[in-house]
Amino acid sequence: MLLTTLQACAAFQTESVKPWQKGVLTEEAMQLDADPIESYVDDHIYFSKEASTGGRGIGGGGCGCN
Amino acid sequence: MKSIRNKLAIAACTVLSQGAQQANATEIDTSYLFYSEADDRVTVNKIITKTKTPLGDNDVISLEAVYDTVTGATPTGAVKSVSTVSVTTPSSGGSGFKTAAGTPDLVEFNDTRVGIDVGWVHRHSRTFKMNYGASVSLESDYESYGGSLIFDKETSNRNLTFSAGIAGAYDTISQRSGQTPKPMGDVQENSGNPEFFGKGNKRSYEALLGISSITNRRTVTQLNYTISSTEGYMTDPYKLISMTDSGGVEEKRYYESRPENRLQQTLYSALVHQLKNKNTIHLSYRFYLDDWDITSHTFDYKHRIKFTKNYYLEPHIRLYTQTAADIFQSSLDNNQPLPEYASADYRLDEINSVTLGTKFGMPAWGGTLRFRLEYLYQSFAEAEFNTNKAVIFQASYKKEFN
Repeated sequence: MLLTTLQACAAFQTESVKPWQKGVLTEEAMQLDADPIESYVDDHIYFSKEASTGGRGIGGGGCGCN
Repeated sequence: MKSIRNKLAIAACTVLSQGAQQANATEIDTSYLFYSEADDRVTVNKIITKTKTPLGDNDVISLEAVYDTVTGATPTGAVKSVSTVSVTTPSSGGSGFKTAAGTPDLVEFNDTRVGIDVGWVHRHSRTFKMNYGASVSLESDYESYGGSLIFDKETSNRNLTFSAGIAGAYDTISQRSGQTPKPMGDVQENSGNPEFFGKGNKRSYEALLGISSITNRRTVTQLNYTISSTEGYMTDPYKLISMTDSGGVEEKRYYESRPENRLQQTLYSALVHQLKNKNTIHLSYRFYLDDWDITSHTFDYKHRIKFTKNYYLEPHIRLYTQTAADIFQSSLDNNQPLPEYASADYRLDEINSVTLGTKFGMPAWGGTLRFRLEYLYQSFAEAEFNTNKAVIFQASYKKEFN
């Protein structure tokens, strides 16, 4: 966990990324929304069970969920 | 040399613009969700299919279809009664509710929902695209129609993307009978001499400002601000609130009442980073604020552990905390006049919640198969039901077709 945390700190090292250096960024796991259908389901569940909603985006259908 | 570099740049840009999807491949993602709450409360079965089809080099059309069935029982908001209470007001698909003395108040219901979302992404230039969206959601007691428009503008090196968008929705709400009870109306009186109105409706307007950034060759970050204004009928036509004496004994029941305006704001930040061992972390934090006095914080962390190509395990933790709405009351005081607005809906109470689970992904039949199993635990400060426990299971399959 500590190692992961330390490695994750590398995420904040900024660099100018050239187009040919973006190979990793095209991987599915590297997308901001790596599993849209899972995000859709989660948004629906938590919209139905909590008072907060939104953040990731806007639009989409509402529901009268219990 | 410069020519080769330019060609590589163009090739890389083409790959980036396609993301993880192959050029001109239609992607179909289908999912089944089973959500089940403890104590025979809500059970949801949901099927979703999402199709994404490129049309030429500059357009992508997406279609998402959802079919839900919801059954079980949900808290009405009323406290435990000392005598058996029977009300003939129809619940969502139920025939009314009857609560035995001393038992917490649940109302049985069942409903189905059909939802369609259509999206169109059109790239106007190498660095500018627009996203058009429309959605319809239909239930026996709720209808929602919405539309959205989002602009995405990238910098010339495509390391920064600025987003701006607007969305609107029009919803109609009622009990299954097509009626809405008078807010703060007396339930017992209404069962004999109903004071009901027609369908309620509400209008929502949303706006988004966002920025996403390629921080380095293994990291992407995002920051979004959204603001949403809703006006109209926001009362839940099924929810009740009890009036109690000083000992907490129920004397009467009323339908809840909520304000006709709500302003909601969120600040959402996300980070995706690939570690040196090729595992990926997804971290997000959302701050939420609204003018019903609700503030919430949501932390979400996913850690994708890659075994071999396309096999992975992804543990997930989500932590959520929320303050109570100013209109939330677990019951009404019989020594006080009826307030204009009051709700005992547990979702407006102070909430602490944790979700723990994991997802497993693997290749199958030329696509990817994912299974997710999670456990949700919610605790509520004052609501009559002070916990909610649920299991979430989702199985999904995605494949691309050329």
